[in-house]
Amino acid sequence: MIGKLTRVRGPLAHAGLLLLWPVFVATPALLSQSLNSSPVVQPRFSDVTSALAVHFQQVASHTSKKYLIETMGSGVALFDYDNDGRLDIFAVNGAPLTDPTPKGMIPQKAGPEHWNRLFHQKPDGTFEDVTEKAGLQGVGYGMGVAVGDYDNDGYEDLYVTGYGGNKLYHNNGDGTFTDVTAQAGVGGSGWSTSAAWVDLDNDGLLDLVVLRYMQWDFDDIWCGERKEGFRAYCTPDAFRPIRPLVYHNDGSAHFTEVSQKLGLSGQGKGLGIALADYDRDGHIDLFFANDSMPEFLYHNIGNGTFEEVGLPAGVAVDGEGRSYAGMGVEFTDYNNDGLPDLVITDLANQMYALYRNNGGGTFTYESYPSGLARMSFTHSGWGVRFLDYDNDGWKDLIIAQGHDLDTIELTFPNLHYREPMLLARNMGKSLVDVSAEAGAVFQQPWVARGLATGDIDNDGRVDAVVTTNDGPMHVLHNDTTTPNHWLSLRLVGHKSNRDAIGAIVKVMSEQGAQFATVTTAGSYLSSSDKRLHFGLGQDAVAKSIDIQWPSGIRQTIQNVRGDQILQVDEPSAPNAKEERH
Amino acid sequence: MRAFELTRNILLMGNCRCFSSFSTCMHRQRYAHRLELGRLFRASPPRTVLIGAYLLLAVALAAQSNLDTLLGQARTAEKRGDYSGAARIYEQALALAPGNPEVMKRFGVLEQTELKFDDSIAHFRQVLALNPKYPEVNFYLGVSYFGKNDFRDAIESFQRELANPKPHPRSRYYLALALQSSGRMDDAIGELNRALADNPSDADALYQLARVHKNASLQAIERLKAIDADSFQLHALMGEFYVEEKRYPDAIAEYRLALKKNPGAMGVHFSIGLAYWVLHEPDKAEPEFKDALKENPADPVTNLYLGDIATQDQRFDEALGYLQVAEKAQLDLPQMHTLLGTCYQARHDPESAKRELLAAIKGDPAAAAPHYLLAQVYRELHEPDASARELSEFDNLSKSSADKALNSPGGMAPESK
Repeated sequence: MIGKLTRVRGPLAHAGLLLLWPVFVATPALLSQSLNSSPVVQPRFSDVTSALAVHFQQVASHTSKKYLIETMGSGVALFDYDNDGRLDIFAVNGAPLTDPTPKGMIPQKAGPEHWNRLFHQKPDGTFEDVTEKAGLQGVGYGMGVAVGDYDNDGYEDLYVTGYGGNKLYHNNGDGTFTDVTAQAGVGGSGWSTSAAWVDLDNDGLLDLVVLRYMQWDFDDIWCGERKEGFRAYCTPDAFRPIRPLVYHNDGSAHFTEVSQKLGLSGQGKGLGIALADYDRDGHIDLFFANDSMPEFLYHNIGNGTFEEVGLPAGVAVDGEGRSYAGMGVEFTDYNNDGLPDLVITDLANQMYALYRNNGGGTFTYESYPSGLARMSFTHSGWGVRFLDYDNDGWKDLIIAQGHDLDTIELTFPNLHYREPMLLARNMGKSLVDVSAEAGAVFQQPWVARGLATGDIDNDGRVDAVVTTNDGPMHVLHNDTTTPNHWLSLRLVGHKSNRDAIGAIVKVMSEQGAQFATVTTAGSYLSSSDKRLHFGLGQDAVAKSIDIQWPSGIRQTIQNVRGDQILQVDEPSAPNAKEERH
Repeated sequence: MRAFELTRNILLMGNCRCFSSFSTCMHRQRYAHRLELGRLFRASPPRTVLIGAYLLLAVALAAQSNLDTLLGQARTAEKRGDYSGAARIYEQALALAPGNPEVMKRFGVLEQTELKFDDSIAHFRQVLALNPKYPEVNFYLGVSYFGKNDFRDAIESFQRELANPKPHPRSRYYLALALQSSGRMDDAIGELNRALADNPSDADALYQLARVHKNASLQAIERLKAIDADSFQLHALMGEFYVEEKRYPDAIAEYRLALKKNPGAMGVHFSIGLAYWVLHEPDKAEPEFKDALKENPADPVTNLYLGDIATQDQRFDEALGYLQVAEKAQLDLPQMHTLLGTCYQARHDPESAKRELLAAIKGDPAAAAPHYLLAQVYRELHEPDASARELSEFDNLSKSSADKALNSPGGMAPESK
């Protein structure tokens, strides 16, 4: 009966050189400084969806056949499409399925109830539905969204993934978008999920990485117990993996698929994607969260190609050597040591995976010592983001939860299809579940899937947007009352890609150092605000901001006043220093 | 007349057993017929005898041919559900070959199909009067008695059939049914087990065996209820029932009621702990296992579960204590060695960890996880080649396991999505 195995614990440090940039290494002296000297404040979030006039209902189109696609949900993006300084919301929707749906069928949206939706934030903070005007209704059964200014024209473009083909929408800058999929050559095929815009070759143009889930069709396969009411969604184990699609931006609004050329063609069951330069060698790396098979860590060798190193790096499986249902992922330095760490959500009875970056190319499975294992054991997580809800300088964790099986309670009464969200406070070395005190919104059982974060009302507190499967989208406003200071950075690349995706930022204050990578990717099927948000604790001023731009340019800004959203443009000089107030 | 007699004898010598493939059977009979004639020719003087024999042969073959035709027609009628038509044809066949045992047997089977058990019994008895061991007739006779709820005669008939050298393959199964119906449960179980020994994949026998046991259990529970509907025994029993049905919360509730009735009952805390463990609720399982340990501190299985929970919770010293008790009891499970390996590794004793993980691998060569853990140990021992080798083996075994899963779709475990 004993089926449990064991876990790795203790350091997995390699002997060898740590290839870290001096400027981005947190020294022991810095680490010893406690950012948690800030007073502990009670987290507080409220559901402001109706108040902000955001009305969106995801249509999953449940059938008696329990097609897996019905339970996967869809994503959401927080981005400023019209450059008015206020975040807008784009939500992806499904399409109708017939019961049964014929094999080989590509579902298509049949009406407004299936449309994707773009909500524009008005100056008063409420939203208006501008989907039709923008031309973003969409076509098929949508899954994910990735935001990136692929043509560096200053307007964020959208890539929407789905089952049977994806869409690239070029932002025309006048509130409308144009479907340029065919011209760009990024339509893809199969079942695409999360996607990421990232400049893989540092040529200043964003490339596109698109994960695909698996080789799947509308087959009538009965999974679960063969009795009435017990039919369940199939495990991914029943289907073959598939390679991702990697599109190189050729610079003329055209892309070329290069997954094999770049060594990114491993067959996976990808659901979540995140990026960071985990070994600080100056080249952006990729992590693919795979469902029920080993996770992939693609190390950028630096010659334009990648190698998959998940297993030797210690992030392919959990600490006991078991695969899990990787879904959402974040690649963020949660312990402020200058090295990006990984958190991956999965299903109940598996425990969310937290890997601490040891440096030297290896990670240690930290789910147990961090407390994440215990708090997540009976939960199923999808969208995941680190956000410093109280601006104390430690990135906290927010997770969208809900089991994938609507029948799970028949088998495991202690597990639930609908679950409240999880909010965990980062104590520096451990995480503490503070969901119970974070407001009623963290008590409501949802079938949550997509999650994006960003400071929607620019009040210095990071908010969140959550999609639910076959349910409404929720806008969660961060009401946390805190005396702590903050700083939000909006980086604009000039030699680098305009979104500055891949830029590494170190913010230094009296209380210590913090690090972040510019990206819109991460979480699950979703795209978050690209602005970097730093809680400064009791420090009203950041002593310095060091930026490593993807182009290689380094920039230092000193004595930056807190409590502001600061735009930082990429300088032309390779080592720029300036003072801001 | 003589020709008919000859035909009958030849048919008897043909020893036809295959009712379902009667044409094949008749083919064999014709072959036997020729053999018999051959013996006749060799034994007789020439010429006059030969002429007589030829005449006899011609008559016999003609009669046989007519009988074959009739039996074929009867079969066709049966196939299309025209039982009365088939019965008329059998009557014609009996007029052509009075007392023909095969015709009477088939006629009896038809009557049995039409639930005319008395008529069928009469025909089967006529056959057995001619040949008490005529193939399968005792079986069919038993079935007819069974249909009449005459279990005693049914049992005797099936037992007679089973005494034949090649009894009908369902004889033992039906004997078990008859024994079960007459209340002789132990004998029925014995016969079903024998039927399964003959054919381990006999789904009918397995089904009946399960039914017998289930019915016996239900009867016992009903009796228990009649004695005391709130007794320790009843609650404990219901707990076990629910465990079998994977209704663990219900099982836990019953076990708790059992404990209320008899707080000192041995084994109940372990059962509750196990139910919580299966439900992945170690916080609730652990105190129950600890209570179970008070009943028997050296119980290896309880210690193993406690060791597993403590290991999960990173309490390695405590886990090691439990696991070493399990080990002393010579509980040689691969999982125990894996847990021990983990604990030793956590205590910075890589050599002991290596020893235990190697034992785990020896115990279960197909398990991937111990290789992964061993790779970490080798890394700590500064043996990079061995570490890489173990990672490679882990990778291979994981892929092999994934391939196996891919080839058996549909059997998903809900917890693994």
